[in-house]
Amino acid sequence: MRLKIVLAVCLALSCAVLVVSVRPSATSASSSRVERLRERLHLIDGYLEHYANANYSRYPPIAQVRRGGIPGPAWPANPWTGRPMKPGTAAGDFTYAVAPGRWSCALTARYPGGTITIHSSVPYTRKMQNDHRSGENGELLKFYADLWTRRHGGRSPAAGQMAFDAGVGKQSGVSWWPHNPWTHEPMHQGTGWGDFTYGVDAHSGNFSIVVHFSRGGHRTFRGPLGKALASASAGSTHFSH
Amino acid sequence: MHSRTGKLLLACAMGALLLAAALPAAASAAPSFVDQQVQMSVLLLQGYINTQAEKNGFVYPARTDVKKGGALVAPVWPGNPWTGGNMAPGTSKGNYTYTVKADQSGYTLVGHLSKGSYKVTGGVPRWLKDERDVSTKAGLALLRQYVEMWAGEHAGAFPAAADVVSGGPVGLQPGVPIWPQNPWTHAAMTQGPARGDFAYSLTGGGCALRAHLATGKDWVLSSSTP
Repeated sequence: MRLKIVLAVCLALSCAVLVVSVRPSATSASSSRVERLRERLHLIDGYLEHYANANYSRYPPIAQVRRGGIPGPAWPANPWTGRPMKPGTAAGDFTYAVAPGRWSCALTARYPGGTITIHSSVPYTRKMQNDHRSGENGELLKFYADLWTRRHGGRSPAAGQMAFDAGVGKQSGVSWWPHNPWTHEPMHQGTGWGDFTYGVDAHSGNFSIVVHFSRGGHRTFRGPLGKALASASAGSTHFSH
Repeated sequence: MHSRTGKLLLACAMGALLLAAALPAAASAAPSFVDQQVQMSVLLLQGYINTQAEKNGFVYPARTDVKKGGALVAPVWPGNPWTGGNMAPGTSKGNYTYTVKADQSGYTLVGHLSKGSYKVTGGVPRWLKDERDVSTKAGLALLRQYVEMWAGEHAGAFPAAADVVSGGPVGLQPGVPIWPQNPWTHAAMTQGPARGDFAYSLTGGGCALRAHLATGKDWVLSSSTP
């Protein structure tokens, strides 16, 4: 009888020790899961950056950010379900939002009692460099428009002629039509980053080329060259912030 | 009595066996699960490395930067599942080896598993060279306009080579608001042999400008007095 009691006590103690060691407290388990979620969200963010690096700094479309969508050699598991993390609002899943143009994005994961968000965007250094290139390109376009004007009796090119595959771009002496550093295509008229708007003043006949920057500003180049030089300033720059 | 004690001992033994089976981390299953963790951690570090490089004009971090507390920005530093500490540079299992090219244009990151290793690589994206060569060409086209403008103001005489600099007579003439940048250094394009820079020479009655591209070839523009 004594032996039975001793064995029963030993068994009970063993079970208690096992339960304590195998199952951590609810708080530490939850905290550990949140840390795992944070780490796994950064892993997905790394895949987003990898995609952007390969795609001219553009982040992926929403539909691609899932297992089997963007390249991701090991897709992380939801710490709550153990299944692959997926778009959704349940604990351990994520939502992905991307800005128009896909130059920035936000990745958010939820856990009981909170959220974790990682914002990513084109680096500011790249914006500065590409804006400078856009400025150089605007200056080159001004020379091309000016060349056209001199060859056409002082008449500035019409908007429709101001393109790489139109009158101004095809004239002799145009060795290189500048490319939009964001799209990697020839610059064209538009308001997107690295593109330009072109207009001819109805009264003076002068033209203006406005190059649009990624940092929210623009730079204006005016011609023809002779008239613009008379004011000793052929261009002006404006940043909206 | 003996029989009841025996039954009790048998029940204990079976219970222990069941518990052992139910518990995770059986010795034979652990390595592959832990190795997967190491792989994930290597991919996490790779994401940090790529992100930092893009912010730094695709210059990849130095070897000494890639460690906890180093210059690499890493919001969550991965752990070494074998030691319970942080992943660290080294060749023991659960650690990693990071090597970067001398010009910091690419890297190799190797995670050391229980058996073997897991390697990832990265480098300057292919499109970047094309993009920068395109910028170099646009820069040279702009320089040609500036030297022609100079010639127009000097009775058709093209400038001497020493004058074709951003802070010299050509760069400071009226109507030159922007001097093109070398897309690799982000400094003003200068005469020199480096990629993104240019060479200028006078020819009979004109001049020739040569931009040095990343492909190793030159892109040439020439100009002559009209």
